[in-house]
Amino acid sequence: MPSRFATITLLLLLTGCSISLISKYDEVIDKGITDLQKKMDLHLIQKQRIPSSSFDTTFYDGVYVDLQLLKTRASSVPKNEQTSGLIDILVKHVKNIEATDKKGTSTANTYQILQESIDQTCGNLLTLELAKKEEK
Amino acid sequence: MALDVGQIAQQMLDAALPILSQGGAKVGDYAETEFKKIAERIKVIGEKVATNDIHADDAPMLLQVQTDVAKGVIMAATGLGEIVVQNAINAALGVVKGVVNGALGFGLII
Repeated sequence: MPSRFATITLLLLLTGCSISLISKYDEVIDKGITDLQKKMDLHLIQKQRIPSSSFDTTFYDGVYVDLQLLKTRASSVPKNEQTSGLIDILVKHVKNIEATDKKGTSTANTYQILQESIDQTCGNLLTLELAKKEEK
Repeated sequence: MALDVGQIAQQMLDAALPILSQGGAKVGDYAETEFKKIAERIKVIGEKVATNDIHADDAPMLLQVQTDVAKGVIMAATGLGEIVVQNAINAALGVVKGVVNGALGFGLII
């Protein structure tokens, strides 16, 4: 880290301005991820109670629209690759959950692990976004 | 123009080092934690399949999900590291801004 620091500092002295290595905090991403986690958690808790409950296409359509909006917003901002990449991982999680749900034969334990994955990736996104609030 | 380059560099370093040292765990530390989680997940999946609490045909997908989670953790750690570096550099510039701009007679650091 110190050598990277020295290199960037030297460049700054040549350009003469403060730097921005990562995008600014985005309240829409923060709220959007929180809402999505709530929606997915509720769905996955219900699936853990009754794993064989019927598959709901409309639910997944809504989740994919939410994720696409967040992805478009994150990708439209420069230096936001990590947030954008984490949203891609969320999309993969949801695709796995959808396929599992559609199959209709999985156990409550499977849904529990899938819920943990959603929670962890949403947590990573929120940690990163909230850290951007402390940018100087 | 009376600029002491050595003193300015030291002031910048003094401002940046506390921020860099508070930067928390390095990416390697996160990776180590995630590999342990993957190993733990492999164990749990194996146990649950053995007791029929997880169907064997779901097992590979569940491991894939855990590796995706690990990838996300590393991504987030990289982003957090960039924020620390950015804050350190901006603090370093901020601490010498007055001296530099005053000595030069114009706003070099803005």
